[in-house]
Amino acid sequence: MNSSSTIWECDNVSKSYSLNGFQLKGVNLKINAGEITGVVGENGNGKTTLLRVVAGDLAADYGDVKFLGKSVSPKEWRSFKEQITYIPQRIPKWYGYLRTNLVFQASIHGIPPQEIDARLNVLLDELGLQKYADLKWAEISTGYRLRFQLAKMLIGNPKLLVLDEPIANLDINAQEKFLSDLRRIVSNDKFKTAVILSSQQLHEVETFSDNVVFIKDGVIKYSGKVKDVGEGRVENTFELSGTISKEVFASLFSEGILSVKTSGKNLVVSTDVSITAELLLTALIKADYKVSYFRDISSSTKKMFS
Amino acid sequence: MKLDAFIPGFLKKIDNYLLKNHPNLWITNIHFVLFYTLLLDGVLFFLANMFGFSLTDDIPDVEVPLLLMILPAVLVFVFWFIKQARYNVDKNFGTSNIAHDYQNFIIYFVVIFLFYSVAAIIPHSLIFKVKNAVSTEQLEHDIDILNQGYVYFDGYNVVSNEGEIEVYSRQEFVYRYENNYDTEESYEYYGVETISERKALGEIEAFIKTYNKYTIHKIKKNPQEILSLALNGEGYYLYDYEIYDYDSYRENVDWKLEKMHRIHSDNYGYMLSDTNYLKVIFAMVGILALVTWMFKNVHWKNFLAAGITVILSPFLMALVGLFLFVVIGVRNDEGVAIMFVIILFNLASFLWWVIPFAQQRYSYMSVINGMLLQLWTPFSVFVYSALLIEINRHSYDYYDEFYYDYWDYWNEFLVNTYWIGWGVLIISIVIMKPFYKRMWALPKGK
Repeated sequence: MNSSSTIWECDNVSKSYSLNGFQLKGVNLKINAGEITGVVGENGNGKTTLLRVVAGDLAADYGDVKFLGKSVSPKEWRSFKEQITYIPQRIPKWYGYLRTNLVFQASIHGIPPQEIDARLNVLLDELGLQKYADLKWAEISTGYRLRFQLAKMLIGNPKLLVLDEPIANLDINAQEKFLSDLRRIVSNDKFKTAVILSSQQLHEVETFSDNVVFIKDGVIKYSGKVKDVGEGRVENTFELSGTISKEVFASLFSEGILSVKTSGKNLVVSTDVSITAELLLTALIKADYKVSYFRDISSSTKKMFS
Repeated sequence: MKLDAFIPGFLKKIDNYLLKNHPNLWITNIHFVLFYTLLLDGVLFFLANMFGFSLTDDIPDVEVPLLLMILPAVLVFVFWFIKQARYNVDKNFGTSNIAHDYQNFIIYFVVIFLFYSVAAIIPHSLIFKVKNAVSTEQLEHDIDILNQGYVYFDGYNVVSNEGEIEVYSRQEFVYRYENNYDTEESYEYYGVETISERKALGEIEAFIKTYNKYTIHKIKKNPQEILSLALNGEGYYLYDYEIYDYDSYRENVDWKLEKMHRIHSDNYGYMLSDTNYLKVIFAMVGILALVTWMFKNVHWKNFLAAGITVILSPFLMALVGLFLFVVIGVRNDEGVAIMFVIILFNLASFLWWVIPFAQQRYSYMSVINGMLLQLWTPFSVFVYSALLIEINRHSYDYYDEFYYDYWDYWNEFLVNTYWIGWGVLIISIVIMKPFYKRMWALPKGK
């Protein structure tokens, strides 16, 4: 990724809240055009704070913030915000017909009146919203509300899209549909938008994101490509469940099992890198154990949560 | 049933056109407001005029329908005002400039005035009806005749002297307002006139004919009988004259004609036709339009807080004033004390507004103080001027030759502060817009 496609970046940004003492510390981050950056972390660790700083909704106490390569001065916030859209966790209610809202959004962003309908139809088709456009907010589901909000935000061709927990209230199908739509739009040359989103759904985020940021206690513990998570690791980590006890692993492998922990209904098994997922799974099946769930989290931020 | 069913096709087309081409205008709903308020005004005007107005009818009460219709007009305004929060160009970082702001302010003014028109149309229709019941020339002529002939009815100003009739002190039956004194001939005459019986009978006959035209309580005696009563010093008791019962005073012909004369004069003493009343209405509509404009430019929480502050400020000012009055002892001149408190509050507000703005950081209180100052400044010229006059009043006394010139000068100035206030209000939009715009875009502290 070259720096010319960097939309937003910050250097050593900090933000603290005097009331609860929480601090976001020393954040260095780059968000690139045409890429999705997923921010993951436990609740109360600074995801929303980080996203609000990125969106210009919250002022950083220290550090340098750059948008399109330029340091953001207070006077320029308005022109920058014309190119940044922020969708908070709770989407504000829309009034009137959904199509009216979208036309209004197009109109105030200077799209010529004669082009509005055509551009809107392309977007509605792209997001599969055409048949819902003449309904009202109360008449559509949460998933469609999110997609309409996305459509509204995309009309102005923003350079940066900031989404706070967008899929939190969606069912699994709606989550996948939303993220795949987002993936398609971001990759589309017509938009080339940079996206940063936060989520608790690690698997989905890692599947659809290019980059991932793991944040803990206000500090970024990992920031990089999703595919690079776990690179150079010295151990593998697996999550599994079934008719298996903690002691089984020592009997299956004479060496290489580093630890076996219980996490809810699952077991979390750490091994050295010589024990791969295939090897472990094959050994379990050969020994006639029933495996109802198995996930290799060696290359996932999931293992950072422990 | 959806409300859409009540919207005519052409209005839907206009709505769609404005939405795509002029979103700033579209938000104001000016097209709907214009259509429906004018339609309602038309219907109310028609209804108010449907039954006509006969000269023998009482003059209709205009204050009651005005007060009754104010409530629905205020409700419609509140509904419209809240709807303004739904769409916003600036808050969505859309394309807009200062011309849009002035356009919006004018539209808000028009819309709010149209809401007021719904409340005022019935009273105005009733006045219109009264005004058109008789021409101004005819009314003036009738008042002349009544004022000329009234002397024969009051019972002690007409005497017989050797076959001729002497008339003393003709007094006005129908009072004309002073603005007409320059142009109208006064019938008040305190000398003695000697006139023939024939002329006297003619004047009485004309009075009876004209009087009966305006009342159902007709004078039933003939001119000769009236004259005889007058010469005997008895007079004729006009049935509905000098009845001080509140409910029946409207039936008095003199009262009625006095009011009709005011209505025809179109300017003096009649609330709805009074220029000063209209100036006050325009000022109120202007302030409401400014408040709407501010509402569109700030977060609703700022707006609400500013509203509460406006309500609480006088109490706080009174407390500070009391403190100064009691503790510091500014006892001799209340004007100075009040002015000092106001300056103190203005200064605090100004600093609280301008310092965060200069530092380019978002401040919740800065927005509120900016709003307070903007709302205050149109009135400030009047208030400061009035206080200065009050303070300087002590340097003159009633015997000073400049005293009356001084008052004339300041009275004229105070009247002019109305227009200065309007000027300040209009300029405040261009001054405050960059501030609100900046504050909306700046990242918040928490």
